[in-house]
Amino acid sequence: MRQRINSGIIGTEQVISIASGGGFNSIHDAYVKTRSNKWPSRAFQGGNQSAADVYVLAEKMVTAQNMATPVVGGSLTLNAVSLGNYEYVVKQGNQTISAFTATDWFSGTADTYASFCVVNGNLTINSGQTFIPQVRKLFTVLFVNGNLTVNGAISMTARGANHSGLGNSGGSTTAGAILIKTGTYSGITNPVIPAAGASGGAGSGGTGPAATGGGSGGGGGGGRSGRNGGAAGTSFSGGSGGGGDHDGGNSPAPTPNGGKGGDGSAVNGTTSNAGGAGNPGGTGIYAGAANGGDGTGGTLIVICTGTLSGAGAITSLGSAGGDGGSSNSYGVGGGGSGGGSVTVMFGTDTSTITPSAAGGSGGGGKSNSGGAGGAGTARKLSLA
Amino acid sequence: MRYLVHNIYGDADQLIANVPDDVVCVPFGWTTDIELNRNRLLANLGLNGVSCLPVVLFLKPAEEITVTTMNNQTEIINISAHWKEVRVFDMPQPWNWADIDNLQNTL
Repeated sequence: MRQRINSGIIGTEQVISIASGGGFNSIHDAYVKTRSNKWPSRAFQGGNQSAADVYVLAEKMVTAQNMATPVVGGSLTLNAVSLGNYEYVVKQGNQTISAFTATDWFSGTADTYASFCVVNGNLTINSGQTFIPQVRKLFTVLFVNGNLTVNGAISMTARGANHSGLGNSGGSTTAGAILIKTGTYSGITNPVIPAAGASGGAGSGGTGPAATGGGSGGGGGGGRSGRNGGAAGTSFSGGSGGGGDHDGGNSPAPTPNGGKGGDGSAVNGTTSNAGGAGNPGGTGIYAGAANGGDGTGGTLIVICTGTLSGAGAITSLGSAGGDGGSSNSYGVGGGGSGGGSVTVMFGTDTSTITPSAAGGSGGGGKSNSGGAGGAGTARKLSLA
Repeated sequence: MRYLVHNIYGDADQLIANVPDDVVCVPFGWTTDIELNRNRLLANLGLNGVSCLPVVLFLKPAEEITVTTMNNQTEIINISAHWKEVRVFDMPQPWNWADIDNLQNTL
C-alpha cells in the first residue's frame, strides 16, 4: 500500500511506502517516523553486532524496516566468537516466492559475508523455485518469524565459502563455531556448527569422514595414490576433494578452508588424473581428465518460529570430483567435496522435508575412482 | 551382508519396509547417542564415513583390473576387497531394491 503524505511542516511532499504486516502502524506513526527521519530506537539498523547466538540476532533484525535488497551490516560476533562480516535483508509481511530473484535476498559479494535473510511474516517458496545465493557465502540464515512453506527448495549446495584468502577467494576469514540457539532442542544442547568439520578422506579414493556434532563433511580423497587426501571441512564450507594421482605423482593438495580442489598430478602422459572438487575445482591433467566440480557444501540455518510445511527440499550438497576418463592408459578420478551443514529449526513440523548435506560423488576413471565427499550434517530440531 | 544407512526422517521407510534378508538397516542421526552408534558401525567396517543418506554399503570382492596402456601393453592392477557405496540419494525416486541391486552390480 502506498500513502501520499503532505507534512505541511517541512514544505515538501513525501511519498512513503507502508509495508503490510509491519512498518508503520498508522498514518500518524508514519508521520512521526518520517519527520524525525529515523526509525524508532528499538529498530535494528545494522552495524557491528555481538549477540549470544544466531537466533537472538535474527530476532533483533525482525524490528528493521522493510528492505528491497540486502545491505552490509558490519562485523559479526556470536557467543564471543568472531565470524567475519554479515549482510542482511528484512522483508516485512507475508512473502511468496514464485520467481526467485537472488539479488532481492543476497549481495553479489562472495566468500566474506554471512547472509541473514529475515521475514517477519509467513514465507512460501513455490514449487520450481530455489532460494539460493548467487555466490558463495560464509553461511546463510533464513529466519521466518511465522510459517514457512517449502514446495520448492532452499539450498546452499556448492555455496560453501572459500575463506582461505587464496586463489579466487574473496578474502580470508578464520572459521569459528556458530552457536545457533542456546538451549536443548530435539536432544541437542546448544546446537552449534563447530569451527572444524570432518577431516578429509584418505588418499587412494577414501570417502570423506562423516560429520560430527553439527559439522560439515570432509573432502574425498583423490584416486589411486595415498598422498592426495581431501581437505577438512569448516564451519563455512565442506572440505575440498583431492586430485587424482597416479603412483609417483605430485598432485598438489586441495587448499584448506574451502579452497581449490586438488589438481591431478603430472607424472607422465600415460595417466589422466582428474581434479578434485572445490572452489574452484582442481585441474585435470592429460587427455580425457576432467576438472573437479566447482563448489563445496555450505552452511545453512533455517529457522521457522511457526509451522514448517511443504514437500520441497532443504539441501547443501558437495560437488562431484572430476572423471579420469578412459582415453589414456590409466584414468584416475578426483575426490568429491564435502557436504555442508544444514540445521532446520521449527515450531511445528507438518512437512515431508528431509534435509540433506550429501557429499559430492567421487570421479570415476579407467583404473581408479576418487573418493566421495563426506556427508555433512542435515538435521531438524524442534523449538518446542 | 549389506547395510542400509538412512536418516531418521522417514524418506527411506519404503526401503526399510521391504528390506532383503542380507541387509541390516542402520539409522544415522545427529544426537550424541546416534553418532556413537554410527561410529561403531563405521569402525567395524573400517570406514571413516558415508557420503550421503540413504546409502547401501556392500563389500566388493578383491579384483584384478586389466588396463591397456598407450603402448598397447596390458597391465594388471590388483584391488583388494573393500566396501563400496550405492548412493541411493542420487537415484530417482521412488527408491526400490531392484534398482539398487541393479546399480550395485555395475559398481
